[in-house]
Amino acid sequence: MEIGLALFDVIFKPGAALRRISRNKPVSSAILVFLLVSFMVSLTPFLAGDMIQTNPLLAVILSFSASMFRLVGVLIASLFLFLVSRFFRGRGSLLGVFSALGFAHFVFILLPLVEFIGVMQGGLEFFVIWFRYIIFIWFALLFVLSVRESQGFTTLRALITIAATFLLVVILSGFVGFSFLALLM
Amino acid sequence: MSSLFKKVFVIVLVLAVAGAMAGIYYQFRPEPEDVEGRVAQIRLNGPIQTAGSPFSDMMISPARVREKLERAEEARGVEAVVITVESPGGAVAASQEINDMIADFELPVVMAMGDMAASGGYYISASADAIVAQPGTMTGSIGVIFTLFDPEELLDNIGVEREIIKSGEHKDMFSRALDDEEREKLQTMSDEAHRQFVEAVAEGRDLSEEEVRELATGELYLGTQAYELGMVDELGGRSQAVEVAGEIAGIEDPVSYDLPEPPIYRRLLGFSSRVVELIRGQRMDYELEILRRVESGLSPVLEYKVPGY
Repeated sequence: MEIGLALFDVIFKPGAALRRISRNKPVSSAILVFLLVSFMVSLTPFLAGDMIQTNPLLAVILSFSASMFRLVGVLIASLFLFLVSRFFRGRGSLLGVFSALGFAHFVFILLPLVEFIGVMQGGLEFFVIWFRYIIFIWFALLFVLSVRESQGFTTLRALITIAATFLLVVILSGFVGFSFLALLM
Repeated sequence: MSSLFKKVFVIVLVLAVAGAMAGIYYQFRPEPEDVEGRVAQIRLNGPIQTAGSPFSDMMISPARVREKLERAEEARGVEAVVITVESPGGAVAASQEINDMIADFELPVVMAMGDMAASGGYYISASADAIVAQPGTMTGSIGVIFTLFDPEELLDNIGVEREIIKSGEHKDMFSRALDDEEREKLQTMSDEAHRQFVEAVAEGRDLSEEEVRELATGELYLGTQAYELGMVDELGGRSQAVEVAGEIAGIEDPVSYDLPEPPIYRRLLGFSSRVVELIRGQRMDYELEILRRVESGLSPVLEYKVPGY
């Protein structure tokens, strides 16, 4: 599967592209795309700060570490989504969800462009803020599409799956947190 | 859509993002930790008018001056301001507003005059803490001008007949020759604006109104003459103005500080509008220029302006 073609289609024909990605499961490509985008997005704030001037290597290491942590986060999120979607009779695989989510992150590549406009123009903050919102909403839609297409769900069932997963993660986190506190007390 | 186009699109997008990141890196310049003793530089060029054009830098309006002063006040370490002024003057109320703004400004302000800072250009300078002019600067022109044209003959020549329906005795006074009473009224108005000019200069320059009235003949003075007459405090350029600002603000080692450039979109808009002005200037022949001036005479306004500019 061609990464370039898949990325183009994620932007312009997201439904069909994510269906194809979740079927073919190009896991290594998804990891590559995710890491590249995540690294660029993580590095961008450092570029407008002091650290890149004083300690560029540290800025790069921190950006890469953040990308790796996010990758683990996406893997865990994929696992939970896969498990919950099984409960809702989903037909997809874990690697299918993970690949789709990895490619869906491609839209975040627009964030450095928006930040660049923000740095250069100085007086159109509202434009930058709104554009950031638009990118996050765009990603949210791709997230729903990833679950829908990878599990063969309807949009409603995909939304319910995401909400249930979110709830499950919150409950589990609370449970783990309280257990940890109880151990400390 | 061909697969080649799709691949090229994605590659270009990624390269554009990488370029943007490089742009952020080069645009960002960290400020030193302890900035102090800065003298901000502000430039005011062009005629003075109340309504500013958002697309051109070649005019001075109260809104633009306010924006620049606010930016100077908010900038880190700025303790004084030097305003380089290059203006033949302009609208009365706008000049007065800018004069008040400079008088009320928290930080010391020194005006550095360029080739010309006369009439309204001098009015807005008068309330500064000090004025520095070049020996060859044209300044002064303390006076008021009200240019009117009687269009009757012009309209007759080009064969245009017109009819004026008016309510109010003097409503059509700018559309025909003035009568004696109207001429007297406009003269009174002009005298009053002149008195206000004299008063503002006297107050700003710590001179008596008598002294200013003697200078306020509408004549232009060279920088050296203005210095001898007490209309400016020092002779020199912008670096001299920075030194003077430093003395007033009590800065031991004043550092000239250029305020950050305006946003790129505004610079681009300003440039694009100048292209239009340039083309228009190239295409405007002598007759059209005369017509433009006649038009401005047909919509007369009281001005603190050097005639002919």
